[in-house]
Amino acid sequence: MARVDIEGIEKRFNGEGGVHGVTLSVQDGEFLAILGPSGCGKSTLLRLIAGLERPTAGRIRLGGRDATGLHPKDRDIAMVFQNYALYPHLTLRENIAFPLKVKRLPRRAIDTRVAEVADMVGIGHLLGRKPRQVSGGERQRAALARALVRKPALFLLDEPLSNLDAKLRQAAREELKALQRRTGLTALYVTHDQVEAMGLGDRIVVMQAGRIRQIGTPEEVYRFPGDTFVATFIGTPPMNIVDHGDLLVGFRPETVIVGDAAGPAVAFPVVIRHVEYLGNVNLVYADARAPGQPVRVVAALPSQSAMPFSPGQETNFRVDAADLRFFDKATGLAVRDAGVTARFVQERSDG
Amino acid sequence: MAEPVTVYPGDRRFAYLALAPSVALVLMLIAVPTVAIFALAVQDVPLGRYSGDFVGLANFRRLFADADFYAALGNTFIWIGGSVGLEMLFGTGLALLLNQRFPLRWLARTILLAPYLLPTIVAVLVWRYMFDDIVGIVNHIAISAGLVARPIQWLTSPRVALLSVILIGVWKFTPFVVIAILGILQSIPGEQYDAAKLDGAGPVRRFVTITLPHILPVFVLTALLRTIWTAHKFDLIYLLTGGGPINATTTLPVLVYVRGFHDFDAGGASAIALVILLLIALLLVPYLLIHRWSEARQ
Repeated sequence: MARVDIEGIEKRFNGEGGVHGVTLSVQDGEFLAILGPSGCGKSTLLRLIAGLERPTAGRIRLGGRDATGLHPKDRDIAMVFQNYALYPHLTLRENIAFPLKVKRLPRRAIDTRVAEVADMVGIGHLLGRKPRQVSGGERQRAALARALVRKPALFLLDEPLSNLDAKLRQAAREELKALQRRTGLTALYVTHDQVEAMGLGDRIVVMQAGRIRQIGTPEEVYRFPGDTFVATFIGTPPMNIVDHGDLLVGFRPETVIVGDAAGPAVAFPVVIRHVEYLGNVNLVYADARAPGQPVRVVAALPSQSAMPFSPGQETNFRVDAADLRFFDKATGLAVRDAGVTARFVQERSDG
Repeated sequence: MAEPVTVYPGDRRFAYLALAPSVALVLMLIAVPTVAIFALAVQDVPLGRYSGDFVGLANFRRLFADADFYAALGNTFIWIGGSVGLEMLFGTGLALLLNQRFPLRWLARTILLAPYLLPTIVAVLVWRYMFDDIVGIVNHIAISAGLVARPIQWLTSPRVALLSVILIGVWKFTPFVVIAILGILQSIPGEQYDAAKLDGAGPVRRFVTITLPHILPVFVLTALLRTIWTAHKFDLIYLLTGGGPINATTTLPVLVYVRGFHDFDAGGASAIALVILLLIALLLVPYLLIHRWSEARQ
């Protein structure tokens, strides 16, 4: 029922922003995270699906039926907003009941349903309060309850956790995921926080400058980034990228080996600059020798093991050949070719 | 040379000393004139003097027996009610309109504010000219369009003059209401309207659920300020009509001026001024009640 198909959707604004030729399908019951830097068009995409913006071109189908020109209220979509969009002069009960009151449901049915969703998100005891009399986390739950109350086919969430503090955000993330599993809702979740996207999304859509850069499971997007943008946007610190002729070679900071390699490995000659102790890992910042300017690369080593590097030292970052990623220098797109890897390993093998 | 004064932090006497000039200034500017009004209201002050014989409540007894006073009181109520009512109505309507997106909106906003920025004397000259019986453009248009057969005596007919003065005041002061209401309209988060749209709320329900509760406190406050200022208004009326014809536009402030500076009856003028003070205080009561009620709802 809640399948979403977006075909070549286009939204142009005067100046920057907008969405350009986005094609995307969301399966029934899927939790899809849309991830990208601010201004990448991810919120606009959500508003296009909701019907709050009209596309310049392209089609949107909801549950197989063309919804491109449909009024927002006829789309059976609920949305949770970044600032919650609760009506400040209504109590939480009145806020949550609002969508049902608009639908003119009988009073008894409304009361029952409101109590049900309020308990589901754990704010049953706060229904008599006004939004400004409850905490940020409780407001966020109330917004969630208002969206859930009329059992929408599709659930849109626009950075719903970004106004919560870090600790609360973690807990809210877990609850949100559990809630979605329990209700089997189809959800599109917009965020600029890669941890949220990785943790919540069944799949992640990475967007930049109004276009989709990659769609994949969190693991696919992390391990096999489709281009250099995804490689350097996802991961903290991001993937190291080193120049090699008409190719770019990438490796994740945690793939740098200390000790013996499992298979064939390559060595990147580096000069160590400084080491950061972060508790669970040590980050080793170094300059990789490259044609022209040296390139900053980072290794993440488990902090339990001995630190083999010291500042000023000229040494190698060794990486397993299987952990290397290649990108076309001109297009930035990933090159997946066993031959390319083999040739590179032959040239740079550390024996 | 005086001995140097040692000042310790927290020395209360020094704090009072430091405040003294400001307190003195406030007393001179606010307290003295206010007390003077009360004092003058119970005296019979002859021409060219600052004080006279104590006469008790004689000035008030004279006032309450004076037909001119009751006429002015009636005019004042019509003037306040008509002006504030129309200003709030048009001001809110225009603010809602200007809050919509349309081409050249900035230009419309700028033009709309012009009357408020214009000096009163300039506005008066322009309107007196436009409302002139014989050469005024208003009558010219009205006659050409066949709306009226004979010129209307906008500012010279006792039956029309107060209405004309109210309309000119509304023209001049509506922009204030627009600024206030438009400001609060623009502070309403767009997300609330988006959420309501998705929930199926139509324009009327969105207005009642979101717009109205948001603007209500500012609406009440603006009406309150406009009431106080309109009750005091003197220059616009006096310059337009001088209170005439035959006292038709004489409101209480105009009557204060006439008693004080035409009749040289400072005691009588002060008595009227105190009545204005009382009137405004009474008018504020309902506003304050509404304000407290809407604060409690938030």
